[in-house]
Amino acid sequence: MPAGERTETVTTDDGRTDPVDERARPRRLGLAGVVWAYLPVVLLARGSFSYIFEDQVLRNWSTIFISVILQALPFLVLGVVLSATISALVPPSWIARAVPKNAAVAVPTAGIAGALLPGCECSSVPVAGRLVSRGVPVGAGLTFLLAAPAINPIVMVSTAVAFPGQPEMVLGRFVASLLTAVVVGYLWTAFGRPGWMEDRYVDHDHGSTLDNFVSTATGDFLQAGGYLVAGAGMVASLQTLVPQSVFERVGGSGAIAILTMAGLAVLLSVCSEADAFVAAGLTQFSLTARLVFLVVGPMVDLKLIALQIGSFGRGFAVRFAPLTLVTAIVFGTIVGGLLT
Amino acid sequence: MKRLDAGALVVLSGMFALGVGLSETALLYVRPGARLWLDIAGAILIILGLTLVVLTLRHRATTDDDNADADEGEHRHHVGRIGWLLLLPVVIAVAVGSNPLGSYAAGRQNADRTLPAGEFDLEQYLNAGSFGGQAPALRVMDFVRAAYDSEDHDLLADTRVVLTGFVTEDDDVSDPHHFFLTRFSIGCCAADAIAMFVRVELEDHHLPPADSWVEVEGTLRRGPPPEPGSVPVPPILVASDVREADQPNEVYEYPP
Repeated sequence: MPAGERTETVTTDDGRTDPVDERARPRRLGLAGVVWAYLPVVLLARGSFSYIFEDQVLRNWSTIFISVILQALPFLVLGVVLSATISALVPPSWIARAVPKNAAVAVPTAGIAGALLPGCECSSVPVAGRLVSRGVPVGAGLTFLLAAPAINPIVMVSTAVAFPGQPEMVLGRFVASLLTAVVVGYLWTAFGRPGWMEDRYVDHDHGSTLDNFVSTATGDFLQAGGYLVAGAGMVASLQTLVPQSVFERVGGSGAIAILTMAGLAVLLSVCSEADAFVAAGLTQFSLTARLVFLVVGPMVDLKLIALQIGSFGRGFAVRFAPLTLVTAIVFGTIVGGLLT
Repeated sequence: MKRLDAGALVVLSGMFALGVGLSETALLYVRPGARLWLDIAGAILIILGLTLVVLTLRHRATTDDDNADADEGEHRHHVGRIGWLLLLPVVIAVAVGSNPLGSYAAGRQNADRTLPAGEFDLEQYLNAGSFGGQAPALRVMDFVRAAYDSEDHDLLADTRVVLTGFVTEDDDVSDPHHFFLTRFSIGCCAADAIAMFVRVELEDHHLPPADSWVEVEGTLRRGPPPEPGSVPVPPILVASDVREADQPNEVYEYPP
């Protein structure tokens, strides 16, 4: 991809070096050009390709891969539109006034506010990223990031439907998830270093509000969407290659069962609105182990880790994901033990 | 990434979402209720992408030609190469085609899983419907639920019913006169699918090929319902007739 402003030097016959403007040379097609030129060929040759790919494994992989992306896409679009609205329309001064400066107050407020965003994890990542970039305290932004997909009304209702006659699962999920989100927010406020987190949420300034909104929304969508595709690829590979029965045969109620369910939540990456149905079916595990599955799933999973790398950088994700995982396991186990 | 490339990628992603959402293909991946959201998201993406392209072209037209390239340099989108990955689902959907989960996915799951929760009253269902003298059709989900239910079990064992699903062969080939009629239940998308199995006992029928869709008419074999808390085995349907069937539009079943 040629960059317009760059100049190169070339050595002329007599040994002097002259600066040469790249524009003076014939335009190169570039990687992007090759991709766009080749795409119609791929799309028009569809029949012949599906003849090659009759393999059951590949078909299964592609079905799961595409379904994870399609399922997440509306939530991602909701997230980037909200994020772009904040960026283009809400002035930083307004956020500075609306959000408490004191982290001790801001963090729990953000946790409760998470209950208001009726989306899954894919909406909360861009919104939290934008809020932090606009001056919301980092701890509060992260608490919002964790709480929103875990305790919103849709998730609570689907949990109640999946566990009929067991309202303690709904209560347990709400309490353990909120506690985890708030405690992680406090821990990050206390021990987190600014250098661990990259701010990839650039504010665009192209003059008009419309241009700013569109640039922000499309930029955030491409950034998060690219990582979503990478995450979906990992989920599909795991689900296709590793039989779930490997995990499910463990069963039981001890520490191993709890750790197995936590691992299963990370690897399966089931959307938070559907994970209760999966957990309800795994009756060979104790209720506590299944509660841990429900607390961990919306906060740490492959798809989400990919999105977090895209939003805040790798240095952030390698610290944040393990911290959240351990905290979620601890509170899931404690709350589960108290309720059952 | 250049703004024009970015705009084109966003439009393409939107067209993919909208195209799948408007067609029956969506049902291979997500619940029927998600189609509307897919359409809306697709339309928003197309509008956003086109707007970006128009703004960029207009900007280019109003800028002095000599500076157009340099200006685009400043105007690049702050997106890494990662955004190009969004081409992948489109290319894979075309290359591999759209397929429902089948016996391969079912074989990766445990047969001994309990059902997604839900209510089903067999007696009410049988009294409410008029089946025109035919055996009543049941969802696999409802059949399995009634078979496990201590009250519905006897009534089900006295009723001839019709189930539709695809064929999963048993790994245990010592008894060639049975297969598993299988259906997936999905809560959100195919990544959270739970396989439901009914063991079909054949008397004189040939085993249908794996992954083919069948309609089986038969009766539940009476047996003790599973103890509460124990892991249930698939219920057994003694088949009186096995017919080939078309793959249904709603290829999965959905908990409430």
